[in-house]
Amino acid sequence: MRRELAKGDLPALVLAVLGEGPRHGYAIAREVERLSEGALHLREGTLYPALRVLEQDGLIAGTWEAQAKGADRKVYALTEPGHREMGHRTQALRDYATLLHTVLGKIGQGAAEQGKIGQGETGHAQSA
Amino acid sequence: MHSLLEDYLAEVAARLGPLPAKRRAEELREMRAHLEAAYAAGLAQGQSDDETARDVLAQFGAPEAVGAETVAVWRRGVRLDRRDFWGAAACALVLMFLLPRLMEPLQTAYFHRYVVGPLLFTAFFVFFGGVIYLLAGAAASLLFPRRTVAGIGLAWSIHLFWIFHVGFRARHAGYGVILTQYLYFLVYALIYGLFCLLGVWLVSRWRTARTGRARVARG
Repeated sequence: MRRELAKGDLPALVLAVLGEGPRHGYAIAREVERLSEGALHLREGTLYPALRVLEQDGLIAGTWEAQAKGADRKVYALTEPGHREMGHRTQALRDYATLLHTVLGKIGQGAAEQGKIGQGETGHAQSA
Repeated sequence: MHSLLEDYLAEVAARLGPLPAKRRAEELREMRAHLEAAYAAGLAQGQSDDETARDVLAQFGAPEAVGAETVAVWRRGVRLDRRDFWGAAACALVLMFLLPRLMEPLQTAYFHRYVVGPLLFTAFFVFFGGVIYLLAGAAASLLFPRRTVAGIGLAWSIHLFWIFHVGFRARHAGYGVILTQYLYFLVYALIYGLFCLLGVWLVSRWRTARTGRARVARG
């Protein structure tokens, strides 16, 4: 199932990808696609504004580098504050995912119990 | 590059009007590099030119949205720059006016220059004042890194104007004395301005060593 990446999650994901090493924008997009096995869809045009915000906040630094093939690319790397922030944001995302899983699990349990009770009532009615 | 991609970039460029020319060119250069790479990758998978170009553009997003978001982020940067410019100016100005109050007791001592000698006292006066301005520059740079030099420049200009204004109020002393006083103040102001910039530079070097990237504002 292909799902569009939420805009608010993009900066944390970008920081996490750059935590593995410096990359240019296109490589960041491809890495997100590879890691999600194509399940996460990123509007690639929104990547560059997100990179600009991270640069403004001093979390990443971009430098233009000549490439072996093709045009020069702007390569981004985490700064030291960026490394720390990456840890905080990725942990916050994980905690959020765990919380959602817990809540949805409880809702699922509740629904299953409601279903059992319903079956029990039906069973009583049938035996009566 | 495919004409669809060129047309796309032209549409985005039309929406980047508020950006300065250099910044606009850099944004478009980065987008162009991305589109070229995506297009080449699509062609390598055996797709046709037109199909690849359409897929690449669908993946990239509508030019209106991309343009609007790019401009919004640029405006955010401008707001941060403006905040840091006025913040650095205010911080430096407050310190430039307040910290010299610490020197007032020494000014009384100046009249006892025969005790320490005028040259030694002047050197100490300059050094102590320099430390104050160095701290003002360093504090402004620490708190407001994006437009520090420009902000401090404004603060220093205001402070210099105030010093000259105060000096001029003593015009009853005669213009010869005033001129000497102005020259005296100007030399001190220039030296203190350099100390201020030294404070900014030291913080910049420290920040570069910590983060691997200079954060001192452009002028």
